[in-house]
Amino acid sequence: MKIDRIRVEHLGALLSALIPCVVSAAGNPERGARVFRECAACHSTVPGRQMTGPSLASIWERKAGTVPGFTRYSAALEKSGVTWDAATLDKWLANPAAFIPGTAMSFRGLADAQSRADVIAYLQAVAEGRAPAAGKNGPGMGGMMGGSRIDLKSAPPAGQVTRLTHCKDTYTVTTADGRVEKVWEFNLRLKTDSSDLGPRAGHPVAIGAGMQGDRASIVFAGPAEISPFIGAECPRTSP
Amino acid sequence: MSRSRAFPGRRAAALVVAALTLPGAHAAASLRSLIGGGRPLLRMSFAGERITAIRRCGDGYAVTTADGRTREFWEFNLRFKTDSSLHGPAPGTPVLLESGMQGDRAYAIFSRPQEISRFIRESCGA
Repeated sequence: MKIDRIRVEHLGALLSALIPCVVSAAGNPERGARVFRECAACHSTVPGRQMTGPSLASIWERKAGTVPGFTRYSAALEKSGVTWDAATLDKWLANPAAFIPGTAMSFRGLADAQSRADVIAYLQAVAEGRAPAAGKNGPGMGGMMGGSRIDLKSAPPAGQVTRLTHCKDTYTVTTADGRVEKVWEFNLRLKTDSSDLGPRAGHPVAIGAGMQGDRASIVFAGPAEISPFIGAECPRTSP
Repeated sequence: MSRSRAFPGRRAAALVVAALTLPGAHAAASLRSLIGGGRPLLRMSFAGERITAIRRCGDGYAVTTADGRTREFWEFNLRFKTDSSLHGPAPGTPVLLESGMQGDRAYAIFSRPQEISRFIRESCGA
């Protein structure tokens, strides 16, 4: 079976080399892994790692809208009745909104048929354990830069927030290394990370953001912690 | 001081004019950020921005706005902020501002930090 697949892939590659006008050769998982970087801002192929979209670790031959643990499917996708295979994934990746109208996936699609075939080959290879997962560490905290996501349980003292107070339009952030910084409230984002990489309950972590170094995110284990952690609005001595 | 107080009023009036004359929320929102000098004027918000409920389920938030729409966000993509200034949202009426190029990120902006936790309900039901 494996030998047959390899032969078919080689045959496809040979044909496309010989006949340049044949657009869609068999997919190549290695190339697909590179193309998948476009998807990695929203999807991981690590089992159980949900992001903006579900983990794609085991979608091959799975019914759409059924990845365990993912809670943000659109009704359209859940009711689509689609099962993911090479044919359905090709239509989906070409134009998600046209294939399943009402989908929440905002990605416009991959116009290049070869790129789609490569991504599909990669997703199949991941499901069959023949390719490494992408997004082991997910996107960066801001997501935009695509850097590594760090385990906030092992944040250095400079990131461990021990005290946070709000007075007028300013937050005062005290960290475990003794530093105290004042941040304009509009530059401070409060977020939650309940994943295995998130902070320990009751131990929020500060992460710098923004090009000027004037913005920051404070990440809590859950939303119930946020307000109780933030101290009285202004000290009595404040004018 | 009196001049700086008068200015937000003019901006607010301009926003009202914009909201009345431009039907699209996007057009009005972009005008609003121009009027606000880069800082959005949230005291006056559109129904599609006024948050009526935030529900948390697993690693996601479902945010319902006054126009009846519910949008779902991965927790990493929804950021909570406060704006306690005159530009900020009215107390108890947080505002949703979408951000990001894919439209999958947003800010929920409250008038003060004490509002945040009590506004968010843990529930996986509808």
